[in-house]
Amino acid sequence: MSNEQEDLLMELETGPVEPLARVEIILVGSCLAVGTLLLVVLACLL
Amino acid sequence: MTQLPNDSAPRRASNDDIWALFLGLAVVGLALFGLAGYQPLGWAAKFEEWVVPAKAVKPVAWALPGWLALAASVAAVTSILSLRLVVLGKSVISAATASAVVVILGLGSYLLGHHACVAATDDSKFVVPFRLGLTGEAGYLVALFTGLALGNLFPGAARRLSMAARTELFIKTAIVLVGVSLAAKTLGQQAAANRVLLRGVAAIAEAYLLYWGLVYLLARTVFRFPREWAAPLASGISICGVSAAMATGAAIRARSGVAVLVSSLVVVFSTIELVVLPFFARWLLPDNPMVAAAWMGLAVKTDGAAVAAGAVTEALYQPGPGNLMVATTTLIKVFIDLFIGVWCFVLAVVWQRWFRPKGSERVRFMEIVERMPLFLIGYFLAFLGLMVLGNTMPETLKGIKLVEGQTEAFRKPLFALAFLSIGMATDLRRLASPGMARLLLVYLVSIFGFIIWMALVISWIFFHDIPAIPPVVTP
Repeated sequence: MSNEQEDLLMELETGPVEPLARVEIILVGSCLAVGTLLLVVLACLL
Repeated sequence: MTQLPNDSAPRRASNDDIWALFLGLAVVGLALFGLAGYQPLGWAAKFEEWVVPAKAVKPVAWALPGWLALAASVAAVTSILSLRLVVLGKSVISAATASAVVVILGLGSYLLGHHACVAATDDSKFVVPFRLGLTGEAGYLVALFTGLALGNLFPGAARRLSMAARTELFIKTAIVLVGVSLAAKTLGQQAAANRVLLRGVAAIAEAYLLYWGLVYLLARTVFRFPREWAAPLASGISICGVSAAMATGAAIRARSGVAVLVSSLVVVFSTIELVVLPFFARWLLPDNPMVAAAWMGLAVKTDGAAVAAGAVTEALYQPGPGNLMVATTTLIKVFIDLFIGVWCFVLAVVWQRWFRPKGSERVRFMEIVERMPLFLIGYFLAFLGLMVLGNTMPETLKGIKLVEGQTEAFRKPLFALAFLSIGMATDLRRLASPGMARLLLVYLVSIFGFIIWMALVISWIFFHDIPAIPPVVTP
C-alpha cells in the first residue's frame, strides 16, 4: 500500500464528518423511487 | 474488471478496451471464413475430458496431433500478449517470458480441470476411482486457485508476471466472442433471443439504481464516509466493480487513491463471490438455471468474475448444449457496463454543480465518453451482425456454426486466463491493512446484507419462466 493510500485511510478515520446535503437526499431518493417504479412497472409489463 | 490501475499511469497508454476490441474482432473476422466453409483457425486447441493425456486436446478442425494444436494455441496467445507488451514499451524478453508463463499456467490449469476425475459427468465414458462431475469448466476454478496461490504465496513472482496477466483484456476479448456464441445459439429462435435481451435490460434498469442509492445512503449515514469515498464505493459495490469505481472517482474528481483502495476491495470480494455464489445458487435454485445465471450477472461485481461465475454456474447445472446461461450472465453484465458512462455523467454534473468549489476544473464530457467500455462495440457487432446474416440468409446457418466452433476455441482459454489473473490480483492481505475495517464492513453489509438478495428477487421476477435451452420452434 502506498503512502498516499495510507494517508487517505488515516484521514478517513480522523477527518470531520460531512453532513448529508439536501442534494444528496434528492439524488438517493430519486434513485430509489425511479428504481422501485421501474421494477414494479417492468415486472407487470413482462 | 479486476486490473488495479496505477494511480499515475496514463489511462489510454495501456487501454485493454482497445486491444480487446481489436483482438476480439480479429478472431471473429478470421472465423467468418467459416461462412464459406473454410476454417483458418481450425488449428486451435479444443479441450476434452481425459484420462490419457494424449486424448486431452484435439484441434478444432484441422488434421493435427493434439499436442501440436495445444502448442499452436499457446504460441498464438503468447505472441499476441507479448506484442501488446512490446508496443507498451516492455523489453521483448521480459514480455515473452511473462506472457508464456501466464499462458502455460492458465491453459495448464484449464487442462487439469478437464481430467475425468474432476470433469466427467458420465460413468460410462471413463473408468476413474471417483468423479466430481463438474464438467471441463472446473478448469476455470483450477486456474483461479492457481492464481490465488501464486498471488498470495509468491507475490514477487506474481508481480513480475502481472504485466501479462490482464483480466480486463482476457475477459473483454472473450465477451466479444460471446457475441458470436449468443447469436449462434439463438439463431432461428428470435423469440427466445428477444426475450432474454428484454428481460436482461429490464432487470438491470432498476437494479443498479436501487443498489447505488442504498449503498450510498448506507456509506454516508451509518458508516459516515465523506462524499469523496461514498460515491466510488457505491458505484464499485453496486454497479460494476473496478471500472465503475475508477470512472466515478474521475467523474467527481476524487483523489485517485480513493478509487484504487475501493477497487482493491472489489477484487477480493468478487473472487469470494465467484467461488461461493454459483454453488449456493445451485443449492438454492435447483430447478431455475436461468434465474441463477441472471443472478450471477446482477450480484457478482467485475465483468471477469461475473462472467466467470456464469460459466461455473452453467457447469454446475449442466443444462446441455445450446443453453443460454453464460450468454444471459454476459448480457446482463454488458448492459450494466453501458450504464456506467451514463451514471458517471449524471454524477459529474451533480458534483460540478453542488459539491465542487467554484472555479475548479470542469469534468469534460469527452472524459466520460472515453470511459465507456469500447469492447461492447465488438460484442454487439458480432452478435447483431450474425443475427442479421442468419435471419436474412438461412443458408448461412451451418457456416455460422463453423464460425462459433472456431471462436469458442479461443473464448474458453481466454476465460481460463481471466480466472488465473483474477486469482493473481486478489491480494488477501489487503483485508488486514490498517484502516480497511470500515471499508470492509460497508462492503460486507452491502453485498451480503441486501445486494445479493435483491439481485436474487429481481432475477427471479424476470427469468423464472425462461428455459435454459430455448424450445425448438417449428415453422
